[in-house]
Amino acid sequence: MKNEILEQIPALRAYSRVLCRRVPDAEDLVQETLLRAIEYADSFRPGTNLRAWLFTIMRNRFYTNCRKSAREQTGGTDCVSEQSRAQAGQEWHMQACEMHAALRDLPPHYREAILLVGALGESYLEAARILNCDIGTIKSRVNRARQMLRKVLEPEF
Amino acid sequence: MSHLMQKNIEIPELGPELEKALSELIEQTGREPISARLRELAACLAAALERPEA
Repeated sequence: MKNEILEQIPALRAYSRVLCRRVPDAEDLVQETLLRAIEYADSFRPGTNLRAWLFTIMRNRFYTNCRKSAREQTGGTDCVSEQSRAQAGQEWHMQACEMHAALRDLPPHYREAILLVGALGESYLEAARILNCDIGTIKSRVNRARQMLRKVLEPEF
Repeated sequence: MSHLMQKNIEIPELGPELEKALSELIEQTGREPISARLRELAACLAAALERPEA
């Protein structure tokens, strides 16, 4: 089980950086998510999607923190300008940089949808559960995000 | 992913270029080291999840 949880860390990091934008805040959120999951371990049903459960906890934690601190968690500088403050070893491949910058410019709900569905391979159904909306809304957001990303990444398209 | 397809759970196709770019983003986080603190938390969570119900 420990290895199964460790295998989710990269995905949790990716999602946290979509939410938090700054890498140090994102790392804190990953730790908070695991702490929260320990607290609510009884709510997990064995055999169900562990990653989706952790994503839901992370998202709830993030928005709870936003409400508590009453400051904008999304928006602000893009990842390119944060590069110099990134921790050692977190150098981004050029195309990943472009993708990250393009993700930054998406509206938050599009950003979450495309990451969960496009990058992390969650189904529409699971993404809808994590984001607490219906499947039609997820499909619409993914489609819209996809169009916006393709315009940025493939300008000749 | 095959178990999801067996259940006919819809997973959208995004196009090869977009999928490749997103995959690289995820691969990047996969290459980053996992701290001792995260490993400790993962072990605690595993223990909590494996704990038999009272």
